[in-house]
Amino acid sequence: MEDQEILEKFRHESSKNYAFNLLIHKYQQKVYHHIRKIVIDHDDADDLTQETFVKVWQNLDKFKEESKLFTWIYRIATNECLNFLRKKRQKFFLPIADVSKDLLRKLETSSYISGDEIAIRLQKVLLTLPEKQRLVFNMKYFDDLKYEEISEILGTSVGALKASYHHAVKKIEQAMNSKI
Amino acid sequence: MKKFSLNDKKHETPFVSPENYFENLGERVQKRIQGEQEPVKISRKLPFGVPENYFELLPQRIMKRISSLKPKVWYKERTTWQWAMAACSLVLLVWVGNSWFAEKNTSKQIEISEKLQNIDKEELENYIAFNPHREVIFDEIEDADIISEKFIEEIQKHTETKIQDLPKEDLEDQLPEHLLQEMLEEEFDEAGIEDILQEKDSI
Repeated sequence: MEDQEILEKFRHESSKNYAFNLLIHKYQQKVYHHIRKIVIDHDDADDLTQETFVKVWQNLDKFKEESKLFTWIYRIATNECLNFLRKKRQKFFLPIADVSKDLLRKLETSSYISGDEIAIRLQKVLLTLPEKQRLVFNMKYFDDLKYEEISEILGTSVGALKASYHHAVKKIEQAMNSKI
Repeated sequence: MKKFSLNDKKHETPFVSPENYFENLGERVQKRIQGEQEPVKISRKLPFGVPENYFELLPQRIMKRISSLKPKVWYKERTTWQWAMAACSLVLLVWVGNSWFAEKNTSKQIEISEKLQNIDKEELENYIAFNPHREVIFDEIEDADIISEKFIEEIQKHTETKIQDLPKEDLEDQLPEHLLQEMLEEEFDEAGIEDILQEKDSI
């Protein structure tokens, strides 16, 4: 179902829940995987996915359709993730590097991690990147979003995103091709 | 059972090669000859799995969470004048903190104290009362044991903005976008790129 149709149904009290169910079904996998790539751990991703949709529910009537619905949802999800990581740092007085170490540990010990060696190695390399660079790389490489869409989500210029992605690719290829 | 014989028919190997393997092989051998290391082929596959039936059950769990949402906390239901009162209290708290800092004699505390002196009281009250981020501000205060220097700087930064220039109160404005931008700025600074972040967009 098209977003427009979902939004139309959401505006009517009688079809509000139905419309929101459709919205969740349509976007849950994209949102979950976007979040999972940032926080690594399934349980954290599950909680943040739910929280993202709760926020979408609470604010969808204020959505002005000046952007695509999915970029708006991605923006909320991204914000939830960054706040989650920020609070983690504040709570445990951790520098960014230690949060990355924590995420790395989760990559090695959490449930629901496949045995694909190259894919795991790539994730480990990604965890060595600055947080925002990893975010930009994930959205471009795995989610195949256009720079314009990422720009809408992060409120960042396309030029900055291109530069950030370019730097990330160089670093990743170098790390992946170096001997362990 | 029929005896195996190589003469019976031509036996094929069970091996297959990747698509376009031979088209690129020559080039790859050349590169290897030249001493170039072959790049590791990076797949877009993610190593993340989910529990069985996770996505089948997720919508139901989200809807359940929505239906059990707690009533908003007191400060989230306030009217503008109530916000103004709350803002006054907060300003008072900041000024009490200021006096306390002033009594201590370390350079850091004096610095904070000086920063507080520069904040216009009325503007600060207005900033908090009318700010779309006010819930975040109050959440931050709730979370913090003391008023942090960063928080004071944040307020100071925003008091430079006229109230009429403050963004409209919608979801996007409630998101602490400045956090996103600050962190992106740091990252892009590291990459040696200057002045690349746009102004707040209008999503």
